[in-house]
Amino acid sequence: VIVGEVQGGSFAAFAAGVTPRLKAALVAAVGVERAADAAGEALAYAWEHWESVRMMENPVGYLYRVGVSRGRRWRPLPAVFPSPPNGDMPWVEPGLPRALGGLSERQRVAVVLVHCLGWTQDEVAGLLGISRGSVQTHLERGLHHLRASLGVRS
Amino acid sequence: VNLERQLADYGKHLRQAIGDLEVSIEPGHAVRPVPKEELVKQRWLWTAAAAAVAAGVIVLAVLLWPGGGSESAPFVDDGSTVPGTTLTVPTTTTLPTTTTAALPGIEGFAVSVDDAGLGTVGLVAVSAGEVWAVRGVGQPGLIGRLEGGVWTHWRLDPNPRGQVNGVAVAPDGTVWVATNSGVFSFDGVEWTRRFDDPAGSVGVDGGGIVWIGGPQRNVAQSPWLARWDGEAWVRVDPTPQAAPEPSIISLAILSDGGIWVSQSAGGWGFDLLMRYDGTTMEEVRIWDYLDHFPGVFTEIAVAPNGDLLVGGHQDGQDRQVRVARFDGDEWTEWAAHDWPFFAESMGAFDMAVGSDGVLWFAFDGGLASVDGTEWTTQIEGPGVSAVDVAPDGTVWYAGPDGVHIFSTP
Repeated sequence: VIVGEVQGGSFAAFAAGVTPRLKAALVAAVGVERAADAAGEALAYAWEHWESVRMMENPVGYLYRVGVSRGRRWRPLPAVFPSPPNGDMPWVEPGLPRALGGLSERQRVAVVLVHCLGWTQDEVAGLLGISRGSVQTHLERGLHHLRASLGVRS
Repeated sequence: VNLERQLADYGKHLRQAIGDLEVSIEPGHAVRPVPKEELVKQRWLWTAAAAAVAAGVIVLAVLLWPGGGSESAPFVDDGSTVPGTTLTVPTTTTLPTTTTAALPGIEGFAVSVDDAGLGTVGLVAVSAGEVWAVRGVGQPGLIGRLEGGVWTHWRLDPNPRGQVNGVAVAPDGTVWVATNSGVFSFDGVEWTRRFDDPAGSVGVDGGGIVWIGGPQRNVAQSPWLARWDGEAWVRVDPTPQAAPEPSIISLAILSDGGIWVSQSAGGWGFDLLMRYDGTTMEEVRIWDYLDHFPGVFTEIAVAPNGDLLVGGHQDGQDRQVRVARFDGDEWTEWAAHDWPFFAESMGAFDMAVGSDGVLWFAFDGGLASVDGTEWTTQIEGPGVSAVDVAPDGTVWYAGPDGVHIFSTP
């Protein structure tokens, strides 16, 4: 059942409102391949617990956590990011998608949301429930790891 | 082109991929378009059904309540009851045993049960003849006891998605299990529901006091923590707002009474380590004490001498295993040679310490021991998920084909 078809008035509006940001956050955390399932799990949880979720101050942050933890398996799977189509963006290092997958999850979430998708550091801090300073630290460490992985200086 | 520019341009490609993602909700969650008139009809049916169920529950409670002497077990905090946690099930309720099956076979010391997948969440070794194992993350929750060569299985949650989050065995032999549908104890004869809300973990201290915990409703808050006083759960954290969905947390209880709780903020491994000293709960940042300790830790355990051990790995692509030790006063790193590097797809492991001081690891590459400083891979192969050392020295582990004894003293 596609979320857009879900009946229930306020839940449908809620789902339509949070889904874009939830998808983006989960892509950053678990990669593109698993993000749709994780978002589906999170929205199903929201539906089942609508009375409590609707009262939350930060439902996207909470559902993000539900999506990641419900997709948890004993053996963690790598976050997989797609390569740009051949010939498109030749200035982007071919190893960049794989290098993103090699970051720690928090570093990856910070780097992808801020540098790739244009979120503010405050928005990422709100999502993860951490301080803006911690987001800055994850960003710096993430960029440092990426430069080391890709062998680039700037 | 500098890295930030590359990331921004790659982001355009990523936005397209995100836009193409189609999010659906599983039909199993009963989310489907319902005509308005059917909704009205359903509402009446649900109301009637709810009334019938409520009447049934009241009748059952009256019939089964053991002379009024057994109270339900709500949280209490300075004498006040926390709303929403009152039990609705009499504490003498016996839960069904789903299966009792003889072992397929015993070969040497190896005993196993096929298709159970037990041990993926936890393993508690009691002796060479008894082990408890639970599964529940990504699989329907199941509890198993192997005793005298016979496996007995229980499923405490009728919800097929019910999740088991932890198991502990008290010194008096009572088994405690934390699940998404509550906390249960087993006295050797019957299961008793002790707590109605989800709990992320359970542990027992040296004095037999049972502790449970879970995340708070606000993800930025520290976990909640409660102890069982024999009749009720006593909250020891200041803000009673337990989250309805527990992420995985882990409890380690030291002999000095200190309770250590680790909690994930949503990713692999635990991001938050808290210490409750009997009065207050505060975050401990290991990296404030150890320069080289990584930011990702996945396991906490108590050594026989009472030290806390925190296992983890380095951040990034080369994830070398690291273990930190806290002796009550200071943090040190467990010195070791040739500790392995986890591939980027690995990172979680289980850890246990025997009374002989040997450290055991169950990880996706197999089963390993560290005696002193030497890492020795004892079993090589994927899917080893848990290890524990019984008080008698028997080493049990959970592999892809079941639960086994690795060695006896």
